Amino acid sequence: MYCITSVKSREGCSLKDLRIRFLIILFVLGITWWLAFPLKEKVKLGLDLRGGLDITYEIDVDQLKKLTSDQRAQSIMDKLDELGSVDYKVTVDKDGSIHVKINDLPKNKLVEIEALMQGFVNYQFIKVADGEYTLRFKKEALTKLIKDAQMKAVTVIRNRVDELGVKEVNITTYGIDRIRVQIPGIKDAQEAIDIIGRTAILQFRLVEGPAASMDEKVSDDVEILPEITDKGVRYWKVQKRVLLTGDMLKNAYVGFDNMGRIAVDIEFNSVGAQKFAKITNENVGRLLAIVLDQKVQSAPQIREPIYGGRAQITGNFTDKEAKKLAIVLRAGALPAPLKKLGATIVGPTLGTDSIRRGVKAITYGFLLVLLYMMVVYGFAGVIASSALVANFIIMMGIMAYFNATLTLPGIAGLILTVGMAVDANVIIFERIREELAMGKTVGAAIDSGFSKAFWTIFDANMTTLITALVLYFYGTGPIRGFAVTLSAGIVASMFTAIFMVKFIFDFFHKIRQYKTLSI
Amino acid sequence: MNRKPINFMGAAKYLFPISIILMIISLGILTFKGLNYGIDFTGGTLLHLKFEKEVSISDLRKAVADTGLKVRIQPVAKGASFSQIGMGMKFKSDEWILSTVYLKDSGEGWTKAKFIKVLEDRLGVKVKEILKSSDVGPTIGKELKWKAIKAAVLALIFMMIYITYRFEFWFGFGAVFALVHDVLLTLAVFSLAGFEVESSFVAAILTLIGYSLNDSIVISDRIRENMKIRYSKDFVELINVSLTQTLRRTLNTSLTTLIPLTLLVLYGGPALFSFSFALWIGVLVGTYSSIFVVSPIVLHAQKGAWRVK
Repeated sequence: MYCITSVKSREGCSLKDLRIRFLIILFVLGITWWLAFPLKEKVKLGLDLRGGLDITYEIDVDQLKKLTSDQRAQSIMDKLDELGSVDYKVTVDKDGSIHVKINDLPKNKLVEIEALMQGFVNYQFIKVADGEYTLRFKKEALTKLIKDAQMKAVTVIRNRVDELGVKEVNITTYGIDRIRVQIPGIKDAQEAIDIIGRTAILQFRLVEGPAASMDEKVSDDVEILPEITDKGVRYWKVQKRVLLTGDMLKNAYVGFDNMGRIAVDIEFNSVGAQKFAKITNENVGRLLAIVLDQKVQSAPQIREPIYGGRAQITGNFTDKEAKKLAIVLRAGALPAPLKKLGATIVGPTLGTDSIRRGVKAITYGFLLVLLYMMVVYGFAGVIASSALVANFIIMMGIMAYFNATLTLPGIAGLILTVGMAVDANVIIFERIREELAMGKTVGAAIDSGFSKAFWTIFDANMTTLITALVLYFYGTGPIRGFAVTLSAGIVASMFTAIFMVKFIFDFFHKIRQYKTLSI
Repeated sequence: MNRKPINFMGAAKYLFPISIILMIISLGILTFKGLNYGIDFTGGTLLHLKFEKEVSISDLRKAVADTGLKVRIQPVAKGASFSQIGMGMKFKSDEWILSTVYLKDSGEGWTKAKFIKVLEDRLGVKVKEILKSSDVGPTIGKELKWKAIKAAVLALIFMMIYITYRFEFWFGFGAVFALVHDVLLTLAVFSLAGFEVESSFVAAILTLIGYSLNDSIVISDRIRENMKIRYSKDFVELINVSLTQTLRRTLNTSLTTLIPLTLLVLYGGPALFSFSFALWIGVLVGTYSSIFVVSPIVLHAQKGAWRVK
């Protein structure tokens, strides 16, 4: 490293050159100081330091396929009813394939239903015979389906989190089927988990009759679902056919039933209200099961047709449960159940505790290293220590600029960079020592010390930088925080060790014209 | 040089084979004892609890036995973590970290709340605060292991490419060999001590890789420079000289890195312990290997070629 301008005299770099370098250093420090301070506001803290909820979900693809096919089967059955067919069977397999058998439609009507099925974009249409058809998922369509579900789930989760009144939430997606929700500083994390992760698929289905147990044999178009009451579990034979779903709801809120117990009142939108009227009209006297996530919430009897589009969900609700259900129904159901892959809840005390520990370690570490450097390298050691301070400011500035998150391993990274930053200075100082021992003048020793050391420092720092990059891409959350502080530290230390410290050396040499160097 | 170079290579004649033996032993330890994987890798539930009063480890063990679940107990010490390293039966604390299987899968409807209640009932002490709770499903655990291995391999490949580009092959090989040596020995220490290993440990190992290479590069750089100026006809002397010249730097750098690391190990708390201790051991071993593992390899690779010149 020589002087920036080519003007160089025997006493060192020209004054103009020194002035330019000084301004550059001032500029860099000034900007990073402004970016980083006050620290509390400018630097983002990770969940492990702030406390909060961090939960990762995966879309249950099997259930997604089944739900999608159930909807399609529903529309097929609606159309068949429209065409006047009564002897038909529409079933959905475990893998989501739909099988249709129609026994009583003439060819000209079959064409209509075939057209409908051929229009289902995600499915491959297979005609087994006249009146017998199979629909299977297309592979490419499946990927798109999952991705769409992922996006819809993110929206629903966001709505639910909004209802919770949470101010800050971070929702990220991984791959096609994973969702990560991070809510810093939340007070009741368990409640949040209950609300966010709840599938909340609300369905209205007709009841065939009570069932004795889960194992009772039923026909293909019926399944057995449990109802959990305060007296134990009851089983129902419920039609598989879904007549109404929760996405037809306009509103849901907590109310009371006619015995004064807590219930959830729901209001359908216009389409839903119409359908509801039709269903209640055609099925007076039958039981209508309100199914929530494959469990019968209640199965009231339809006493008369209901035209107002309002209904009530009763059950064994506590005030809290009813509120949660209302929130979840208002925000909308998830497109498919979410499997919880992992969750971490960090309490706020632990966070502040960790920060306190980290700050203590950094301060003491810094002071000890400072002392050591001064003892071993004398005046040069003092200069190196000032570089450390500058280092810290620049690192924080870089982190604030890139809006990086400081995590607990990140603090460890800060502490580590104290040691590593000193290394660059050590390499340079040792080199200068050797040059002096070889008999060079102070000015020449400084110059050749810095220039010869440059490539060594560069190589050494490159390997650490490569490590940091790999860590960034491999790691999640806290580890990424470490990689970021490490990288910021390397960049900062290269600047301070090579540019800033050299300037200080040159400056002092210029004004003092040292004959020997305390190093 | 105005003073006699230290005969590092003479010592290396004995130390290098010892290093190889240590590497083999480490491999053996790792294969048979293995590492104590935390829930990040195995999946499970972790509860970092603060009780209202201090509880002794034996009482806690009895309470845990009541649940019938397999639970690992770790006390959290106030202040310095000496007690992290050595735990006796008489240990008492109000802060504990308990890790067990993934409660959702363990049957009998175990939930965190139920687990805590059983503990509270048996101990007669209530939990003041749940400082941290973590559930990791088995899927994520397995993936993390894979990701860690992939990351390490990737880092190694990039390093080798970079070093081969900047130096000659044998320097690269020597550096990577020393690196493998450092990682193996560090892992073996953890295996022997039975310390828990979780995802930040992997970060420590990767950092160690970068750091170990740092050291090797600085020394290799000096050797290469002395080769260029043809410092000595005797290659052994050339290496000794290079090592002696860089000795001060090597020692000073290690010390200035070890000082903050020691503080982290002692005061960083349980969350950072495996991370900082791994680096601590790694830096020690890494300093040793830069001198006594890299150079012998370079020596034997280049000696023949050097003489001919």
